[in-house]
Order: sequence, then C-alpha cells, then structure tokens
Amino acid sequence: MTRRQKAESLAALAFLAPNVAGFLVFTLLPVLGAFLLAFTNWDLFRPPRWVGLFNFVSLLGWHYDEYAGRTVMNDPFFWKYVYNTVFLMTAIPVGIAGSLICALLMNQKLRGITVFRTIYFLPTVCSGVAILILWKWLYNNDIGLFNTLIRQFGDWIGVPLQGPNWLGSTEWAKPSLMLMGLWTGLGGFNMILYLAALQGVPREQYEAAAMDGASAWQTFWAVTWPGISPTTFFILIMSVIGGFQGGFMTANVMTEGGPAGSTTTIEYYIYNVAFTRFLMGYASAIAWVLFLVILAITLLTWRFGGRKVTYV
Amino acid sequence: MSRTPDRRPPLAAAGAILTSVLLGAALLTAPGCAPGRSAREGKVTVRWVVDPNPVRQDQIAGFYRTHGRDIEIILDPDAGRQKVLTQLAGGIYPELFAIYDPATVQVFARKGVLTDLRPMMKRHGIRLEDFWPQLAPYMLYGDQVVGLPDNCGTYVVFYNKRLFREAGVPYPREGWNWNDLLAAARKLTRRDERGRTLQFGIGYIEPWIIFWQYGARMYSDDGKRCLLDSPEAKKAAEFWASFRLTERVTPTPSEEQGLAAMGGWGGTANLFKAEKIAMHIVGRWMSVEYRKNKELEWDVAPVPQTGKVRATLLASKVYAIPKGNKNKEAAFTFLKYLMSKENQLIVAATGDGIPSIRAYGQSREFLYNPDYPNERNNQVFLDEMRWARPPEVSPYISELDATAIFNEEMDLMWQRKQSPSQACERIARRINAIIRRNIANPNLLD
Repeated sequence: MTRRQKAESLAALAFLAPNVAGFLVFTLLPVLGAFLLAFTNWDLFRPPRWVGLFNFVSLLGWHYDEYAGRTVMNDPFFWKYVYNTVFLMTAIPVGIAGSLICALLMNQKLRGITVFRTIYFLPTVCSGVAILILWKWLYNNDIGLFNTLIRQFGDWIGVPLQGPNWLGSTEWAKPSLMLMGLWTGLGGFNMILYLAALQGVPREQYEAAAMDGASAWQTFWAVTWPGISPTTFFILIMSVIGGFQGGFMTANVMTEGGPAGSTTTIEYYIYNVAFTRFLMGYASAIAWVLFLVILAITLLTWRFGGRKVTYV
Repeated sequence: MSRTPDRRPPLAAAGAILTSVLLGAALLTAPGCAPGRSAREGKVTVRWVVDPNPVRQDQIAGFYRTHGRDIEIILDPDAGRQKVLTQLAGGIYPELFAIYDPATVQVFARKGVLTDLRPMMKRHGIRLEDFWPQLAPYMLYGDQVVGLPDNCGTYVVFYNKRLFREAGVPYPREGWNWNDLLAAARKLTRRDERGRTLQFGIGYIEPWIIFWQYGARMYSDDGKRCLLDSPEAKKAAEFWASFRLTERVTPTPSEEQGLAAMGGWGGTANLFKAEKIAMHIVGRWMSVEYRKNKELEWDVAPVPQTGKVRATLLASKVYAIPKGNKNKEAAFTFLKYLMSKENQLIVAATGDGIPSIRAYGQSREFLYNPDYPNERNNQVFLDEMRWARPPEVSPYISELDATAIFNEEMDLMWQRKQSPSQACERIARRINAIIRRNIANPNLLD
C-alpha cells in the first residue's frame, strides 16, 4: 500500500468513524441488550431476573382456561395487533403502484414539471404530526371536510347522505389510515426512486420497441417494468419492513390505537408495554419476535421475488 | 500541482477527526449527559413534578412566604406516569412528584420506588387520622404511607344557570334523581333543523358513579374477580349508555371535537366553558378553569341518586418522594408545607378541590370565599364526601390492561355493535381471564 493509499484509507476510516461509533453505541449494543433482556423480567427498577423463555411463551403460547372451558392465547392482545398490522400492510401494493404511476407522470418532458415534482414531494418534507392532525380534522365525523362534502352532495341530489365515522368506527378506522398513508406516500421517496429508475432505463430499448411497433402498454410491460424491477424489489422489501415497524405515530396522534384497539399495531403495542407498563423484558421479546418475522418474510421475498428481477 | 492530491487526504482526515471530536463533545455535553441538579450555592433545590395548574405558583409563593428561600422550588409541569418512571429509572429523581390515581400508586409502590413517609410524618407531627379517610387507597400501600394529598374532589354536578333559565328548567336540588337529570338534559339539548346538536344537556359522565349507584362493582373485595357481568352492572350500563346512544344528550368524542377547541382540561370542560353543554359532572378543581369565564353563570348540585346506593366518585392526587432522592428532608419540608394551614387554605380559596385535611375542608374559608360571592354551595362538595369512593383497583391485573379492555368493549358498544349488557359480559370475561392468568404467573403483572 502506497503512502497515498494509506492516507486515503485513514481518511475513509475517519469519515466512517462517527457513523460506525453511532451504529455500535445506538443500534448494535441496544439490539444485543434487548436480546438479553428478552430472557429477563426487567422493569427498569428492580434488577433483572433471568426467566428463560417465559416471555416468549407468554407471548406466543396458549393455555387451557378451565373456567372458560377452552384453549386461549396467553396474550390475546398481541395476535389482534398482528392482524391489524398485516391488514394495514395490504395497502403496500396499492402504494407502490401509485408511486409508479406518479413517477411515470412526473417523468414526462413537460414545461414546469419540476414544480409538479416538488408539489408531489411536499407531504414527505412536511411535519408528520402536522399532517396527522390535519387528517384527523378532515376525518371528523361531524365537521370534517369529507363528511361535509358528502352531506352537501346529498343535498345537491336531494338524498340525505351521512359519511362514515372515519376514525370512530372499527370498519373504517384502518381503511382511513391506509387512505391517508397512500396520500402521504404516493409522491414520497418511492416516487423519487422510481423516477431515477425510469431515467436509467436504456433509451435504445425504447427505440427498439418503437421500431418493432410495440404499443405503449407493450413497451411498458416489456421494457419499462423489467428495467425498473430492481427498484420495485427494493421498494417492496423496504415497504414490508416499514409496514411491520409502522403505526406508532398515527396511533399516538390520531386514534390512541382505537376504536376498540383496531388501529393498534405491533409497534404501538411494544411502545405501550415498554414505556407505559415498563415490562422491558416482555417488550424486548415482542421486538425480537417482530424482528424474526420481518427477517423470515424478507428472506421469502428475496427467495421468490428476486427471481422476477431483471438487472439491465 | 502533483503534490496537491497528496495533501488532501490528511486534510480530509483531519476534518473527519475534528467532526468526530465535535460530535462526541456535543453528545457528552448534551443536556441529558450534564449533571441534572441545579447547583446554586447555599440552596437546596426541590423539583416538584405536578400538573401546570396556575394555582401551583400561588402555592410556591406561599411556601417562600412562610419558609424563606433556602429551599428553592422548581416546578416541573408534567407528571405523566411515563415521564416520571423514566426519570426514576434514569436516576434523575424529582424530589416530589404527583400521582393521580390509586392504580398508579400501587404500580410505583410495587416497584419499590416510593419512600415510606411514616417516620418523617411521625417526626413532623403529621397524623394520618387528620386526612379524609376515603383517601386511604391513594395514600397507603400495605401498612406504608407512600403519598400525601393536599387536595381531593368529590364529583358533583356543575350546571349553567343561564342555560337552565332559558330552557325553563328548574335548577337541580338536593334529592333529585337520575330521571330528573335526564329530563333536564333532554330540555337543555338543542338541535338544528338537520338534527345536528348545537347544545348538549350534559357532558360525559364517569361510568362508576352510575354503576356504584346501581349496586354494581368492578371487582370483588379480594380483587380476584371482575363483577361487571352482574345484573346490576348490566342495568347500570344500559342506563349510562342511553345518554349517548338513545337520548343523545351527551356528545360523542367527535362531536366534542367539532364543538369546541380541544386542549386545556379536555373536551367536556371546554364545552361547558363555551356554554355548549349545560351540565358537567366533575370535581371542584374545575372551578379554577370555570372562574376564568366571567360570563359563565354556574353553580353546583349533588349528583342525582337512584334511591339504592348513594355514591359518587372521589378523585385526588398524592405527592410521593422517590426512594433514590438525596434531598428527602427538603422534599418533606415542602410536603409538610403542602399539608399546612397556609397551603390548605390556598387550595380552598383558589378552587383547586377540597383541602385534604378534614379540618380545613370544613373551614369557613372553604365554604365561602368573598372574592367569589356566587359560589355559595360549597357545602355540596363536603356532603358528597360521605359516600364518595376512589376508583376500584385489583392487584391482580394491570390497570392498563383493564382500561384497554374496558375501552375496547365500550368502543364497540358506542358503535352499536353490541349492547351495553354484552359489553359488560365481555369485559368481565376478558378481565377475569387475565386475572386468572396473572394469578398463575405473577411475573406478567406491572
């Protein structure tokens, strides 16, 4: 190694040092600590006591309740919140498709297209809490914009109409959050990634398709879609990971996990168990189960989804 | 020219190292890493973690008046359980902090973080017998005294006299019953031509007042069984829910949000202050807020009765000293002041509830304050004390689990997906399943 190479390596290491130190101190150590805590009953005040697999059995196991006369889950809350989390994640494909459509629109050579791109990206740079409070008012059952418009439309056609109780009913609360998530997510980072990917598809392939007389749909399906498939795969994986880890802010600001626990996600549950009940051992066990679920699903996606990816 | 690239890496390395050093220094000098105590020479600091009620400033001023300024009181105006527990866990002990319900007192005490105040009480001549005996669940853990209250409040009916007069409804009087209240609430509820409510008869009613009056209980005496599946509880729930579901004289949360600004004391208080609801069942501390609206013409009346069991809700807050605290004596000096005549009369005069020591609660200063000549019915708060009860607690279930189950099932009831009776049955079944599980595995308790 020459002196210059050594100096460059030193510089690279020095630049990396803050990030690596931050990763070690604020990510790796807490993660390892949480793994150990998952086998204890630590409540922050009394010294942790080793309880073996007790937290995991309490979380995932079941028992026969003699009084009820049937087998019941040890932690019925957890399974309900898993269902909520997975339900909310069903919006991911729609969100990805929406981002792609936005990116296709924003990829046009139009006058002032940068302005449109900025407008679509605005929700991403706005304060998340401000957006959630805004949507909470939009969804208000009595004076919210949506229900007011529905009522006015009803007046216009001469039929009394009342919009749904968006955040106040168990049927509508999850779809309402999904709808809001789509609005905030459409023009976000996924659109930017798609935009970059679309601009990276080789021009020659489009020219070849045009020479072959391919229609717009055929061009999209045979050229664009495979060309951006690595980006789609990346967005899918990140969205699935984000979906499992999501739901805290919306629950905390908009719904408090209700009504009837219908918007409580695993993440919000972990927060409540850890920072409201201070059952750190149990919360760590939930976090590690969540990690293993995310890992398994990511590996499955990689295994089966990876085959569809075309690297140009 | 050829030497320039060679110089860049060392410069860059120096820059990167400098960045690292600065970042590290910034982290080390961040507020969380700095010593947490005020180190003003010659003064002991007492950090008082409590709600931001404006009365607290009067109380601090009263302390300085009577004790001088050797002990400095720093108001930390957020006593949320989560924040206090985090501070305690992090070793940043407040000298004195407020706890607002018996369940939380039990959680803190079980975790062993509260000082047993008995030795200091004995030394300073503070006697347990001087407090209202109904406050015991707030103060005691086993035979230990873990917190002392300076105020409390029985739930009574606050009513808007102007709205009553305009609707031609007679003012509530001693001996009225729930049917009288419901009839008044119906007349006081006004709707527009589309059926949207412009004014509600009564705000949200704490369920336990009605449940207890119907003879229902949340838990058995030993706390090992939830009793909400009893016929009395179901009947009470049907009546309680009817205010929102069938009579529509009480606003839903979304109607509350739509009618008045949120924040402050919350939806119902804001609505009462804005004269959008005619009655509000709450404790005397709300006088502090209602006095701010000079146009608001209000009075208080006892909660109505079913004729079966007389009962109302009793709320309080106790002040506790964390075990790890280094300034226990200074903290107790301030705590003793909070129990003194000086402060108890501040509580009485400012409207911040009923003084926690019976003698001051029954004082002339509490019963009549010449600054507020319209408040002539303060005796009502004291009369209600005879049958006032604190919220029920079971040692076998986390209050958070019980509350989550209660709210979930009641949410379904408000959406008319189940009847109040079904909600009661399901709450009892779910809570009892958890109680049985926790009795078998006490590790799962908070």
